[in-house]
Amino acid sequence: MSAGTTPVPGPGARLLLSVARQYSRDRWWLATMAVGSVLAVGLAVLFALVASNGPEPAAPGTPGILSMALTGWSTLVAAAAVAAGLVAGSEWTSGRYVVSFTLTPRRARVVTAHVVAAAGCTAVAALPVGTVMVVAAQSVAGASSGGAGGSAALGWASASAVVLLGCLGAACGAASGAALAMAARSRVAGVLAVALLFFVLPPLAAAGGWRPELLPAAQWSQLGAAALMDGGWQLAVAAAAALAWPLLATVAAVVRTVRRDIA
Amino acid sequence: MIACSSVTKRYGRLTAVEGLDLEVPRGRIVGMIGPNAAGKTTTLGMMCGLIAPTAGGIRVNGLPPTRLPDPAGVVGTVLDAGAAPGGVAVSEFLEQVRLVAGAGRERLVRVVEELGLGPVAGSPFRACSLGSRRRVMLAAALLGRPQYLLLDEPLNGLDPTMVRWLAGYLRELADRDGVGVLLSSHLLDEQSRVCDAIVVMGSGRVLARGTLGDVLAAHRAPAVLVGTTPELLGPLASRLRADGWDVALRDGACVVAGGSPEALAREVLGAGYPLTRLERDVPSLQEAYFALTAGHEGLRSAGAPSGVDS
Repeated sequence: MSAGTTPVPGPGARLLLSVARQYSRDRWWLATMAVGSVLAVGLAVLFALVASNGPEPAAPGTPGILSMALTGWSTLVAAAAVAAGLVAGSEWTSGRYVVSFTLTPRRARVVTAHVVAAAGCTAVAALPVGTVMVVAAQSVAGASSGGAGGSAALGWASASAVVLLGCLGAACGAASGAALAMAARSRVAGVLAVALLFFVLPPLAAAGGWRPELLPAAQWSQLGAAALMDGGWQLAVAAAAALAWPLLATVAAVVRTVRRDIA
Repeated sequence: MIACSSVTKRYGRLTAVEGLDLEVPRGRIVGMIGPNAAGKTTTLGMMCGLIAPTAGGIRVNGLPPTRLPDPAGVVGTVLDAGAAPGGVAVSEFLEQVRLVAGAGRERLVRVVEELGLGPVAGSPFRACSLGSRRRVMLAAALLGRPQYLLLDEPLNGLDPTMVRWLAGYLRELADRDGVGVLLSSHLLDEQSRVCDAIVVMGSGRVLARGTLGDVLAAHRAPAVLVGTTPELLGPLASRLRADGWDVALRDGACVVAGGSPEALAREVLGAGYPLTRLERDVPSLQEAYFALTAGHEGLRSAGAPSGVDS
């Protein structure tokens, strides 16, 4: 290679760069992430102040403080998911898919690039905010427990769970956003999956229709709380819940988008 | 070369394209004309991989359109002048396309300059005029230095100056860069002026093909209009028929198929008839179009898809 020649990335990398640029240059996505980050941190700070200055500062305990702090973070991830969906949706609502699919006739690559770019951009924005909030919540919990560091420590297992959930949340949001935007059937599949997992199964479980050991599955919709449960299988349940419905919708959308004639 | 071989596309019971054989060689402009629902857009969609043929094969440089290793460098397509996000600046949209196409920045600068997009580069796409939008989409198609261009109605809605400029630019691309162009358009004058070959479609089938001369000849042979005084028109026609000419009467003149003006002038004057009119009657593409597509104008809208969600 001659000096000064810039190697040209492969088609897949170029496509991903282009799609990621769509996200990073979309003013609505950027605004949503900025506002969402402020809200998420604000919620954590507010809770930290309330928890540290209240009449019973240590009452919620470390898991409770972290769980409530993560509520703000999950709000951020949800907002990012919606914004990512809008960005992906603009591909279809603007008619741009005609250009995208003629430049890249292997449509699965376009869909994959959107999912990866949305998940990546969301994770890049959400993980630092989540880290800040976890550290802040940890400090508050440590202060409220009178400096007993052992009880305030998040621990590697829980920290890993939080990070994993963050990634799952980002993937969940990105996949759902892309799926929602792609085809009518995917929207139907997504809505049905959400209704089944979040509104049908939990009440059934709560009504005692299931074996008692499966009752924690009713907490599928509370991913932040599930992450801090003892044991490992609850996390798997949470992960399955986080991925199941967007995966269903995404599969429907991808099959529809890849196979459909576009005229 | 882009080659369609016995390509058929059906939507349920509706046959949009049937048994299509078509070739687009490099450096040539092939015009595709036909009434609405003739199958032109479906053909273009199949050529760029947006629509899967029901039968037959399409090869672009020997490969199916969906298997090209570097599609943007082989086929540039403009199917819809509005296929860009309205709120995104033209320069940003083209930059995103440039990334996918793997083109350098100098290529982007050159294309923007050639297509005169500098003044609108910073404007959102929705603020652009129709002419500018068409040029933006053409720029997007050209960024990858494609060997072929597939253009669906690129001249529609443009003012005469822009039509003339775009037709000239396509000619330049074909002659200078060896780009093969498939140009679908209803503007028959421009088609006849710029295209090397014409394909007339109707009801999903090819009705005529070839050079402009071939298509016109398939419609009817050039003729000569011979006029004389009204009372002598009938006797002149009889005289010419008796001499073996194919003569019809139309618009107060004898229409003599296949004759040369000089020979006919000699014959008419030699026979003592006054000659009041003598002119070539060359069929126009428009005349051939109407004749060839008669009976194929019916709108066959039922069942055809209009997008991903439809």
